[in-house]
Amino acid sequence: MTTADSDSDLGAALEEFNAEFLKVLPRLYRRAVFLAGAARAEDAVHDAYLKLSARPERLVNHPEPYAYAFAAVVSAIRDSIRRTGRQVLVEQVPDSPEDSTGPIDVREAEWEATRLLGRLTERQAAAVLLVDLDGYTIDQAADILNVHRGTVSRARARALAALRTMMKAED
Amino acid sequence: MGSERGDAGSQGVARDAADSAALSRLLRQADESIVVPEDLWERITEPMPVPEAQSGAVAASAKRSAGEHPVSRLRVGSGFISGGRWLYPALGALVVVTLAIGAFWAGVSWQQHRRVESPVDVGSSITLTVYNSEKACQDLRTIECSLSIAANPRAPYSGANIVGRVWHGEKVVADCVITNGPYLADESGVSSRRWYHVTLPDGTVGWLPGARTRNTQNVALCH
Repeated sequence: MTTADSDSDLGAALEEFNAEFLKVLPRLYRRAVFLAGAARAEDAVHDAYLKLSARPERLVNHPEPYAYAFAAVVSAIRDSIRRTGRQVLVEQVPDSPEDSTGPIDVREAEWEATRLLGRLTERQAAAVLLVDLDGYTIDQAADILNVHRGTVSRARARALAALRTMMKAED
Repeated sequence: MGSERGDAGSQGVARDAADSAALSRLLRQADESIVVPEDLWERITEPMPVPEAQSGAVAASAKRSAGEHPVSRLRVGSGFISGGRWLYPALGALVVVTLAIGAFWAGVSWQQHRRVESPVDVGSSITLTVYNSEKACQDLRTIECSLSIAANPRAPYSGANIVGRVWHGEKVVADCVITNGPYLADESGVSSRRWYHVTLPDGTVGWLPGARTRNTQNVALCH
């Protein structure tokens, strides 16, 4: 692109990028909470935004903008953890959460899911979210995360095993 | 024997399917409970410019991490800060520096009259060199390789809002800068919300996106 109006083209590309990012933002944020905890989720999403906005056309032209942005969030979280170490996981579900904003059982689901995913690596947890929450196939999840399908399968097997352990403990 | 093994296998598959469904249910329920902050989008996109006088590691690492990106109010430096040991000292330092700069500029404004985003203060002007990151365009003076000067940095960067054109290597005089203009990235990925209020050699006055220069000098903030 060697046009004088490349500036305006870039501006327009960024507007499109922002519109696209805004569409997937709530979902991205919720996934980031699963993967990094609420305290880090916002920064992870922000990091992904900065990274992706350097090449706005890539997100805009991607057939699956959410998947592309999700991979960027996972990458941002992994980078952060490399720098600062993994956050302390929730060991026990508090008996009476002070900041509960919804039904207790719903909040418990969040804690349980966080505990369960906390037993996996970030990439494995991301694979579980893509398959078991977002409904992608194992092959699609592997493509999005740029890993082998076996990695996704093993991640899910570990997640299911963790779930069974948690269920037994509750019984 | 074979049928027992078959039964065990089918039981295993059934158990996996049931567990998968339970996992999905748990994740969906958890997903619904996560509240997305209402101002998340604003917080992600709203810039907090690095103070001009700030020359320490914070500013340097912020610029390194995001080119000329403005630094979000959530972020200081290139890493996540979420209650870590650097958070409060860093934020405290930032607040102090910001207040000091605010007080300084308030004093300047008091003495110099209020300026309304189009000041011409020759005393604080700097010379900027226009930078076009497209190598093929750097030696050409064609319309296709020109860069636009906007009349209003906050209006769409096209059409009637374009008041002039500049080319790579040209010098323009900048008298002030805004740091919260529309975000613009050049072809090399350098991005900025800074827009310089410039005067071209032919007297045209307008705004040059920060991504279209490689400025290293301080210049007054436009008020």
